[in-house]
Amino acid sequence: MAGIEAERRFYTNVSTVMYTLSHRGLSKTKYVYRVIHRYFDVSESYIIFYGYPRPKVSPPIPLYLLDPPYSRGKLFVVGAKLVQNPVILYINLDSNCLKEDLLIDAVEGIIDGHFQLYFTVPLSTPEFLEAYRASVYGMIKEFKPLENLQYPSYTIAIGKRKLFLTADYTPWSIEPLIALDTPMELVRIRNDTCIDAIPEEVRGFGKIFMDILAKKLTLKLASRGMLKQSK
Amino acid sequence: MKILLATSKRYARLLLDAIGDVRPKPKIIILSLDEEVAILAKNLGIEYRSDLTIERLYTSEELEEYDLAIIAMDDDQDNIVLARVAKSMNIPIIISILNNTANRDLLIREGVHYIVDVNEFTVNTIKTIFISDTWVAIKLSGIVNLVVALHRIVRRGILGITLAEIEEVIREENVKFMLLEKGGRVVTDASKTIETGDIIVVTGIEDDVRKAMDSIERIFRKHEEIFARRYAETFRIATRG
Repeated sequence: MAGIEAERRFYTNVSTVMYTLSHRGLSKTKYVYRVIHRYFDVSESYIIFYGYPRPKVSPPIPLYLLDPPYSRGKLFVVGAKLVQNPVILYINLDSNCLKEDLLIDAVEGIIDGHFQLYFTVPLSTPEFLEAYRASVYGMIKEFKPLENLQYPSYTIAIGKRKLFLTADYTPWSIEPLIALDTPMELVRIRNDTCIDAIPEEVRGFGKIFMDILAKKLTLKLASRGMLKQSK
Repeated sequence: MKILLATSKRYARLLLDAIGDVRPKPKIIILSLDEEVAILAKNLGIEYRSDLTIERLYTSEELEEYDLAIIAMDDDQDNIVLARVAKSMNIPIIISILNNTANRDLLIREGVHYIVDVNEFTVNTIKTIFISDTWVAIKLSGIVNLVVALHRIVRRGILGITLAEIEEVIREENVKFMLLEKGGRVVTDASKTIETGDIIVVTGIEDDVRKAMDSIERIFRKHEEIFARRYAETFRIATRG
């Protein structure tokens, strides 16, 4: 293992933003941080807690509390403002689908210039998935690279920092919206067969979240003339 | 004096009120993204800049001449980033608004000298209005850690504690203490029993006030135990009888 790590270790600075809305997620920080540090240098890191109430634990890296809570989409913008490095890696600490390989492939790919935006999309729970299929996926499946965006859960997102400095986000996500703003050949979406859980704090809000996302996507696509009147 | 004011529309008027009394009149520059602030600045004849991109700010050499930076944005991440810029410009004094108490450490890390926590002040002021029989401490100033702690008596008014008992323990503490009656009059008679509607006020430096609060709280707890024991005893006799 040590040999593989040494072989794959690359010398670059990436800013890391880990996010969670639970105390359980916070307890994973140290482990995840140790893993990524094994493979590449991390220049600056933050944890963004987007739940409520504030956690009582003190994590080993700076903790930022998001206002208003539960706005997962906004935390990407906040993260991009907090760090100064041009490449930023977002890790969802609440995801059950975090794997070393996914992290390393993502960072490697972006550092090598294969893409500017990358995210992994695991399978989602039925509530979110049904709402997503009903209001969002039907609309975006014709457009590359969004056709790969089959589920509304996300484990890792990595990209150029400037891409995340936008006011275009929803309470649940920012990924589909910034994917549309990035040249399609520079976006990579990796579907993962792992089944991810939606945090219990936001369960029951799937339809609302997906309706908001559908509205924002509709406006974006329509403004570019990509969406036909009939749709 | 030259003051750099980075503000959102929410805080602009408030900050201009705050620096309105500074004499001689300071030179002010306002950095803001909000059009409302631009109009305000124009009407007051204050220099205004809307370009808050980090790259642009870092290359603005004229900002290095400023003596004081006051940062008051709606989101703490903007306050953090602007504090970082002000620090890199070697502005000697940086004051920042803090919107979420839990983000205080991040502002300290960026070298902010004075942090004004609007969140804490608002929350605690609201608490003083409707929370009783518990302590609410409000921080008053950024220069020293001055705190006013209030304790509004409701249920604890039946315990029969006298002012003398509290004065005895508070004498050793480095704080100012007073008991206010319902009408707002300061009680001076040490034999007076603390009643429902009275307010205990303790003022001083934060650590001292916390110690004084603990000392007074111990008296309340002791009397609550005595009261509970007496009540249990009365109940036992009554049910036997």
